[in-house]
This record gives sequence, C-alpha cells and structure tokens, in this order.
Amino acid sequence: MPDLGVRASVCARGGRKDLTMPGAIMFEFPDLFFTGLFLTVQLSVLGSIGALAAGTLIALFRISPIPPLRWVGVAYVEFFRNTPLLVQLFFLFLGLGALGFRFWTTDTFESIFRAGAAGMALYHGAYVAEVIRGGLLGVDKGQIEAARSLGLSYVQTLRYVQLPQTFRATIPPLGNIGIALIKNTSLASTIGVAELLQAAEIVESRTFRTEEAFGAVVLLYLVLTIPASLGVNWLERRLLVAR
Amino acid sequence: MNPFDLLRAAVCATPGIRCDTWYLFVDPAIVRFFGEGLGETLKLSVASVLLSFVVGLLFALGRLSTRPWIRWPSILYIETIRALPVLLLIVYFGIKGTALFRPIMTPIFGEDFELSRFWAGVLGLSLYTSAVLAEIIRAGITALPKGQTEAASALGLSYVGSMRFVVLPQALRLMVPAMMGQLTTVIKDTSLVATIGVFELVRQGRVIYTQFFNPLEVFLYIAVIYFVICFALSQASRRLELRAPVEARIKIEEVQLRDQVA
Amino acid sequence: MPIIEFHDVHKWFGPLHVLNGIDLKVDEGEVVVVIGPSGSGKSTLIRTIDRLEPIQRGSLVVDGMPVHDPKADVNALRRRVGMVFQQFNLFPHLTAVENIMLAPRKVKGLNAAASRKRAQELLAKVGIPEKADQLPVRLSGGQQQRVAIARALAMDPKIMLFDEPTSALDAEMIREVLDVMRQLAQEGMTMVVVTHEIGFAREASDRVVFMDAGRIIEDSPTGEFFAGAREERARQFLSKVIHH
Ligand SMILES: Nc1ncnc2c1ncn2[C@@H]1O[C@H](COP(=O)(O)OP(=O)(O)O)[C@@H](O)[C@H]1O
Ligand SMILES: [Mg+2]
Repeated sequence: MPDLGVRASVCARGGRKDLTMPGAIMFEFPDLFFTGLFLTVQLSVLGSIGALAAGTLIALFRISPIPPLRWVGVAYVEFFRNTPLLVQLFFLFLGLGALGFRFWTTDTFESIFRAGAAGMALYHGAYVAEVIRGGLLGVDKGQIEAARSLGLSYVQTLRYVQLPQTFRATIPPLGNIGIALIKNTSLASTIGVAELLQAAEIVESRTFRTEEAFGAVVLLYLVLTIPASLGVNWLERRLLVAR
Repeated sequence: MNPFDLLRAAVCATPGIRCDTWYLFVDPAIVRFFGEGLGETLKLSVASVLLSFVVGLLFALGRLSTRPWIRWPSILYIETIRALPVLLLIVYFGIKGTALFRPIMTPIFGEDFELSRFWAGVLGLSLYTSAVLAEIIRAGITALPKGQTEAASALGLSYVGSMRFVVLPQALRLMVPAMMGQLTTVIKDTSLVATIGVFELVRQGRVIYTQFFNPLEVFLYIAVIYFVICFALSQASRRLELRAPVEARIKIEEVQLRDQVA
Repeated sequence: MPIIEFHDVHKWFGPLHVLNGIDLKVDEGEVVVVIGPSGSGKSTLIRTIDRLEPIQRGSLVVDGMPVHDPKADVNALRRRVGMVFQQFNLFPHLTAVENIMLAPRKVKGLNAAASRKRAQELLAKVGIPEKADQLPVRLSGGQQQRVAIARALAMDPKIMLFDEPTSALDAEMIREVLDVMRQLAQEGMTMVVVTHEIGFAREASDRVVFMDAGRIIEDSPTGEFFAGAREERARQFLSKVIHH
C-alpha cells in the first residue's frame, strides 16, 4: 500500500522529487498520530474484554436448558451478526443519544469513546458467542455426565469442566476475531473518536499530503495487526501440537 | 384504552422517541427514498463481489503458483490487504480515487474523466474483498484431493488445462456457500461507503434524521432492512454449506472467520 | 432394608421400550453383577440409579430418596452414588490429583490441603500414588480407569456403579482395575457392576442379574447362577461368554 501511494503521488503531481521516508509524517504530527494509536489500542483492548464477556454470557444463554434464554441468545447473535457495525455504532451514539443516554458521562469525548467501545464489544461479542458455544458443545458428553455424577451442579460443571477446556480450544478463532476487532476500531472514527484513521483524515485535510498521511496509518495498523496474526498462527500451531 | 394503546402512549411520552415521525416509514415517498438507497447498496455489493471474484481468482492462482516471482507478490498483496481496515481503503480511494486512476483512464475516456464516488467505493471494497476471496478460493482448491490434479496431468492436461477443466469447476462448487457468506459481509461493508458520500442506505438515513431529528427510529429501520437481507442470505449459505464435504467446510471456515467479522 | 429398590420401572427412548417393568432390590454391602446381551438395557438400568436417565413409570428409591420424583435433589443423590464409566471420562485439563479433588472441593467445600491429602490416599489405594501430577493423556487406560474410581470414591459414596469398566481396556490392564474393584467389594461397598468379566462375577459378587430386552430374566445368588442358570437364555448367553 505505501508503495502504491507513493507512485500515485509522483504521477498525480508531475513527479515530486522530495519524497520523505514512509511514516516520517508521524513525527510532524505526533499528537494526532500517536494519540490516535493510543485510542485505537484502548478501543481494541476494552472492546476485546467486553466482547469476551458478552460473548461468553450469550454462549451460556445459547446452550441453556431454559428455552427463553436460548431465544434471547439466538436473537442476539443473529441480529448483531446480520447488521452493519456502522449502523450499530450510529444507533448507540446518535439513537441512544436522542434518548438522552450518554454512557454515564457528561464529557462529550468520553461519551463518544464509550459508545465506540460498547459497539465493538456488542458486535464482536456475537461472533465470540458462536465460537465459545462451539467450544462448549465440543466438550465430550461423557465428561459432563461424569461431572454431574460426582454431584457437581449444572453451573459448576460449566464453570470447572466445560469452560476451562473451551477457552483452550477456542484461542485461535478468538484471536482471529480479535484481529478483526483491531481493524474494525477504525469505524469509531465515523462517530468522532480521534483514533488512527481519524488522525490520517485530519492530517490529510490540513496538509493535502494524502499518501504520507495514509501511508503512516497503514504502517501503524500493520504494526498492530501483523504481530497479532503471527501470534495467532503461532498459538494455533502450538495448540495443534499439544493435542 | 387497550393495552397496545397504553404501551404506545407510554413509549411516545419518552423524550427522544419521535412518534410523530413514525408515519414516515410507511409513507410511499420516503419508502421509495430508502428503496433508492437500498438499490445503491445492492449495486455496490454486486459490483464489488464481481470485481473481487476476478481479481481474487488471479491472486489465488498466483499464491498457489510454483514460481516465486508470482507467488511472493501475491502473498504480499493478500496478507497486507487483509491486515488493513476496509474503511481505510475506502476512505483512501474516496479521497484519491480520481487522481490515482487518471493516468490510466485519461487515455481511454478523455480529459474530463471523473471517477465517481460509487466506483471509488467499489474499488475500496473490492481491494479488500478480492484478498479475502483469494484466500477462500485457495482454500477451496487445496481442499480438493491431491489425486485430482495428478489425474489431470496424467491425462496430459497442461497446468492451465487441469485448472480450467478439472480443479476450478470442482473447487468453485465447494466455495458457493462461502461466497454467499462473504456477500453478506460485503453488503454490511457497503455501509462504510456512506462515509465517502455515496447515497446508499445509511447515507439516505442520515438525510432523513437530520431533517426529522429521529436517529433512533431511522437506524432501527435501517438495521431491520439489513437484517432481513443478510439473515436470509446467511441462512441460505448455511443450508448449502451443510451439503459440502466436512473437510472442505472446515478449511474454508477457518479462512473465513476473521474476514466475515470485518 | 434395601438401599436400592426398583419397583415396576419403565423407560422409553421414543418408541423403544428400554426398561420394561424392572423389579430389583439391592441390600447395603451387596455386590450385584448385571449381565446380558448388548442393547438389553444394562447401561440404562444403572444410569437410572444416578438419574443420568430419568424413568417414566414406576418407583425407584435409592438410600431413602425417591429418584422417580422429579423434585428429588439430584445433586444430593449423586453425592451418595459414585459412577465409573466405560470411557473413564477423566477431565483432560486437570491432573490425576486435581480430577479427584474437584468434587470434594466444589461440592463438599473441603479446603485444598485436606482434599489433596485425601486424593493422595486414594491414589495410593488404587496403586498409582506416583501419577498424582500427570495429566490423563499421560496415563495408560488402566491407570485412567483407576483414577476415575478414586475420583468417585473421593465423595465417600454409599453406592458405587460400574458400567463395563474394563471393556475399553487391553487384557493386561483389565486385571489391575478388577483388583481394585475386588478390594472395594471386600471392604463392604455396595456395588452394581455391569460387566462381561465372568471371573470377577464368580469371585466377587453376591448376586447375578441377567437382562434381556429390557427385562430382568433371572436374578440368582452367584453360586446358584453359575451352578446352572434356571433360564435357557441365560445359559446360552453364559456359554457364549465363557467360551469366547
Ligand atoms: N440416549 C438414547 N437414545 C435413544 N436410544 C438409546 C439411548 N441410549 C440407549 N438407547 C437404546 O436403548 C437400548 C438399551 O441400551 P443400553 O442400556 O445402552 O444397553 P446395554 O448397555 O445393555 O448394551 C439400545 O437399543 C440402545 O440403542
Ligand atoms: Mg452398555
């Protein structure tokens, strides 16, 4: 991508000679780029924790012996997976905002940020739920019977027998969802979170140095996502060997 | 009063809920207005999927090539694109589209060539989707038993011949459900094109809520439209998927998870 | 006073009548072996005792608790009844000693030190004290099954149920498991054992119950049963198993 951008700029501007190092522009606008990076990381971390919590809860609903809980679980998963994250973010920020709900804060920036983090958690939680449900159902039925025959309750069996095994088996797919989440934090720019993409857009509009601004952000995203996918691949291989 | 009216009165008394605008969502003119947005959404999706399929097929074959100078650039393209947010690509093309393609397009279409925002959106979406489809196609091809290609070469078919007549027809059939699944994702992702000013569903919605101050209702309405389409598609794809051999299904699913979420 | 009492118990799986009017009494300290052809309902029979399978008709009272009653406290029942499965069903993410400690800690609320001490004693009792900190994948089938027995014993059950505990084992491991069961029988544990191990039945059991097609066809003291089963079908079955 950065290469493509640089070549295009040469063409568009009739051969500019003074090309800077890719990414150098970051240090001209450190407050925008690095604050953006920090917000992206914050959104990713909070979003992942939220998605894991929401997803686990919904997965438990999905396999619950109580039918209404199961219905809630299915409705949640299907609704959040089959509507765009962007619409969900607008709904959380503008829609709930119209009701006067500002995520328990009066600070506008904080409220936007929280709407963004909530959107990340709710949307990715639906995918996490399906992965964890698969993991829970993957635990051998005999083990569940063994646990119940020892007198462990339904909840204790979930807690001590099924969930611990599930988390191990689901680390690779959960990692993939995490990577998608990092990339999807860029959508928070549309409701006004000054994360990485927003930083690029601001710098672009101030300087018209499009390739440099976007090139820098491309680099920063790669710095986040490439190690993450290498990590997921590594874990996947290790877990395959361990089994 | 019956319970329904009571409930309605209670809901409408809530500040921020604009019951006085509810008629809009059945008003023929407004429905047509949203319909136009939906039309644009679907056009974006179909154009992107078609373009992505062609490009994705090339990169899938490129990545499977035994020649390093074809294989490595293909890997680089696929992996770099998949590591980036779609929105970034869309915004970039939204800003740069025309300038970027002028050198190629001017000789063909003349001086006053202008890349529309629609096509800038299609480019951004396709850049990303082509990388994903390349991976799905590759998974489909590698899921075929090794014997197939070997049998084809034993018959004296060339590489291109065995791909064209033996491998791809089978692999593509395996991939139909995954492609449908990816179409769902593309439909959801077209909403991002609203940010570069294409008047698809979300952008039409913005026109409405800025006029009537009813974002809550508008986004619920839009969400329901997306839901109906995407849910139907994903159910259909799931049903088709169950007919595919388990092995191929698992391989393709692995690739998909990350990209479906996007 | 029998500790397990079936009275006219019926169970269906859909249209399949799996238990067809079971009457059976087991006294405290008794060892009962259940034999019969595959699919005759042996597993289902002993699983009803622990309510892993609910029954649809009749009454079943275990240690004074009405198991047929849907309101009965199953977890309380299961604390008093230990179960050992054909497939061991150890928890693969826990070591041998942790497998044994789990229920005492979480169900009985024992502390870590006390439950670990007890688990170690039980591992010594089943003959593998040195395997305490191994994960199940590192254990042989016979060792896994012995850990499973120790795990069930850790709840100090009044009744132990065994569902073909040696059927998944190679010949050389069968003995080590049967030895543990024999010892338990000598100590006076109430046991219901589904098995094809005729030798174990002959030496260690008090009674043999023969099942076929969901019914108990014969229920005799062990000596009588092997001296000459009353029922033709039981005799046929027996000759097949013995010369097998
Ligand atoms: N969960 C189940 N659902 C339906 N049928 C079952 C189930 N479990 C067992 N059966 C059927 O019930 C019959 C008795 O099974 P089982 O008690 O396992 O017999 P045994 O242990 O004597 O081999 C068999 O025909 C078996 O197929
Ligand atoms: Mg059985």
